[in-house]
Amino acid sequence: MKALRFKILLQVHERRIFTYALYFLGNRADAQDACQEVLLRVWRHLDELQWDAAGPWIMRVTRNLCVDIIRTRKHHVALFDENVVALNEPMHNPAHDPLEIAHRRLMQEQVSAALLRLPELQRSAVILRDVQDLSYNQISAILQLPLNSVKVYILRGRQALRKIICQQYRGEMEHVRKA
Amino acid sequence: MSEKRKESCDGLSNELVQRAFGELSMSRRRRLAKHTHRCPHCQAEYEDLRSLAKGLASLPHEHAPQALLAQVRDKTLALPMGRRGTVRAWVTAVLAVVLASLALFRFAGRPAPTVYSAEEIAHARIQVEMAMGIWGKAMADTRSIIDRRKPSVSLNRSVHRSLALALKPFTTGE
Repeated sequence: MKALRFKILLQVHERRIFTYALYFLGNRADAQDACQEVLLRVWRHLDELQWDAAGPWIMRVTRNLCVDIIRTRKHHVALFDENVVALNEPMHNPAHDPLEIAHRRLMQEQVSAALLRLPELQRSAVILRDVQDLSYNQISAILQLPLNSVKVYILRGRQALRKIICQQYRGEMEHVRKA
Repeated sequence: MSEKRKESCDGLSNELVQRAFGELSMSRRRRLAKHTHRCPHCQAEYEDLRSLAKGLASLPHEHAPQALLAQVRDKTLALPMGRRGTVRAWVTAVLAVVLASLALFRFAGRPAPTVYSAEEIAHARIQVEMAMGIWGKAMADTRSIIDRRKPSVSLNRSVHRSLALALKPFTTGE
């Protein structure tokens, strides 16, 4: 019975956990570590876990673990690689214009790199809202923050992301001009 | 990507974000559209935010690697038995139900067991006592049966045999 419940939870939440960890940490190996630890914790607490509360609980654990990983990683800055998120979209899709695909991939790389520069709460809130498409109420339950605070974090996060990408773009243009 | 904007547009910054991410009400959106038509800075900022929203929404959702999931399955099965007590309890309960059902089917429809009289039980007991070599007890039991009966009533064959066997060691002078 327990094994069946675990299997269902795994199928429902595994993708969301891994995606969140990947964009929050910006590092595939760390995301895998976090995902594995979250799933083991789900197994350990399965008896106490209510079905309806499982989703927010799992995402809360994921977020806490990711924060812990970043804190322990602060002493090893060399490991912090912003370009480590590999985007697996196929380039040779005849249904799409190659230029459009290349542009989208560039944008995805810029955005995923910019996400890593956001403060932790803004990053969590933006990933949950704009990448994972969760509602404000769900995010409020996961982050354990009032709804208004969540809205403010998301708003500030989006504005900060735009600024980061603008700066990045300006830097690239200057580099091109000098060359 | 533009960053410059007029000071007069500062109050609209939040609304531009909300509009770009599709979270602005229709009436406010119309009002903002009028402004962005006239203001190239706000229009540029809106376009930046719009492409940011698209970029975020287009980030691929990835599954955890299969090897990792297999590792998790191995680790969860290898946990101490205390953790798996619930599973064991369930298996025991199911086995008990299955065995009980089998027993019910096996014995269903059979005649009720024979009920023996007190005398027949006493005879059997004497035979067991003799088989076990408890001669004194066998004799005492036999006597109690005889005493309970009237002398006219003949003892049945098994009591006779029991009595004969019980008294054998004494009658042969051992």
